[in-house]
Amino acid sequence: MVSPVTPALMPRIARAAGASVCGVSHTRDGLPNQDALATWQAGASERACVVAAVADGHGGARHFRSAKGARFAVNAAVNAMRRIAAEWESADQEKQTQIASSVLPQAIVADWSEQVHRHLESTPIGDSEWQTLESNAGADARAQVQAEPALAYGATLIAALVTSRHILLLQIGDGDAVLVAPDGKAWHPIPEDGRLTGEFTTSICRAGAAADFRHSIFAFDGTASLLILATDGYANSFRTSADFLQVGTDLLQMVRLDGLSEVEKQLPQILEHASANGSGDDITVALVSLGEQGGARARATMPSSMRVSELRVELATLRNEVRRFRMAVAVVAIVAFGTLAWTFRAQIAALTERVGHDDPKSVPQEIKPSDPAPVAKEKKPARTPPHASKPESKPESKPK
Amino acid sequence: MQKRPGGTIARRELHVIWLLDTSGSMNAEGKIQSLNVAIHETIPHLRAAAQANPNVEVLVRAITFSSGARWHIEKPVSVFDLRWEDVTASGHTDLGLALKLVAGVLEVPPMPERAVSPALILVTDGYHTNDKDFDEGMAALMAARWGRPAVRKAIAIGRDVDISALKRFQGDESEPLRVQDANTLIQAIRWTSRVGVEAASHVMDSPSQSTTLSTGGAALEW
Repeated sequence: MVSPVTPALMPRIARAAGASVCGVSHTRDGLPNQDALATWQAGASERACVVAAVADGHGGARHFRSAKGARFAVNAAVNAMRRIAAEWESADQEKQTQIASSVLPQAIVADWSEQVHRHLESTPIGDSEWQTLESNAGADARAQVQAEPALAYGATLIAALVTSRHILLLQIGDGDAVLVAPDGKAWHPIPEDGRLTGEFTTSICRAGAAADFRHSIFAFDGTASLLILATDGYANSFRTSADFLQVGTDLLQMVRLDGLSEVEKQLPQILEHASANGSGDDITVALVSLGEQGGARARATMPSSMRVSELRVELATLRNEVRRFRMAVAVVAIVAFGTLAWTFRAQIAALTERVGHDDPKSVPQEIKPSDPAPVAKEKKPARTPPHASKPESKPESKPK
Repeated sequence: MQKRPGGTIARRELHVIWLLDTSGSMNAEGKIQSLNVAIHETIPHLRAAAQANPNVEVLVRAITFSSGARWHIEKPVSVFDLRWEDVTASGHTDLGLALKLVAGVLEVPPMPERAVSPALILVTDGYHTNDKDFDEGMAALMAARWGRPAVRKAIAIGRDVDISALKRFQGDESEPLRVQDANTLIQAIRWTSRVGVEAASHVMDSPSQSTTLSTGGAALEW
């Protein structure tokens, strides 16, 4: 069990890392790594925002350009999420749902299709590719790809957009998004797709792919400390789902102990071991540290430039939060003042009247029991804001 | 040695389950003998396929059906430890009961949550005895966690076979493999058994497979 860290004490700053390794079965068969990884982090001067994406190119014979397709998919996700980050952060709940369920999937699929189209124009499918496809999968497969060339680029995609207040997760096809709570508990936050069993998966290359995206939206409030995006080669390397979820618990502990940068250095070796002894498949993992800085040991040896850049990001985020807090305090103060003024308007009016007739120095003592001000009527508890109860006690005691 | 994150790492399991017709009609013209020979000859090919895919653990089971259905190999056995004991034929063709029997082991557990799609290979030479049992068996199979995603292939021996039932078993419009002689039966069992083992990643609309096999030359026609 990972020792809990009080969420309230943590500055909420996300940072991303990741690694992608070629599966041992791909190496054995002379195939490339068909996964792709992309992460992006806003600069210090920009609004705090992190984007991470992993994609898994299909391994079937018809998907002979899936390594490119996976690269296009993560690029499309990062582009679309960066563009929409500001709008997303300021949107209300209804608008956010619309962005997650419709706007972003459509933008990602459109961008991916455009990249595929451009690649097909610059690099048409050659004779050797057609021959290999036909010999591996038959004439029917060739006819299918000729009718729908995007099939050659088929891939799955999982992407995350982390802004200062929200976490958005998007997924099409298999693979795993895992959130890890500060106490180490790990879970799958994205709803399951019942169609994904065995070797079958939905894909960004299918017609109507935007409708096959699933999503989840969470508050970035310390409920989770780590986000993991992984292609299915990782989870398929474990005996059970519980064995895989243990990865989340363990990685959080490693990030706290060694820091994200150090864990990132270890990831390739970790993933290669899993592939060699488990699925044999390509494995790609993106890690997003959600607010915990961790890694005291690592920070001691971290280059000063890295610390400065991280501090700049922290500072920018904290400034934003302080600005928002000040505005909230000002609004509360105005409302409270208005409420008090309305509640004591009779006394204020009486006071103002007396000030006009009596010695100004004795104002606080001038309200007498015989004064006609309707104090009791104005102090119905139901109409009195809780924060105004203290000031009211003084005038109330006077009539006694 | 640094700690690696996560629990137990393991290869994915691939379950191959043969459903074999051992009804009385299989005694005619040496079909049951040919079936046993075909299984014997398939085993080395399955091992070769498993060796070529070391990140998958190939496990084999077998059900026979005639008057009733029963496990011929009940406990999943590694293809490298598989020893085939010949089956004999007599009785009716209770295919539906065989489907119910296999459906029971395609739930999670005993099947793992994460596995390569199982391969179910059905071999028969006739018509099932009981329509109600067959309907119930198909319903149970499709309801099982690993029933629908399973790679389901059927082999029809001879000409007097209920092809529509075999199409329902396969779950698509593709034709079952039809074999007319001992050599093609061997080829068919070998090919269908390897389909699952060599399964790679597919999208939903996986390509249809070829359903024709060349005959192996001189052979007895069924």
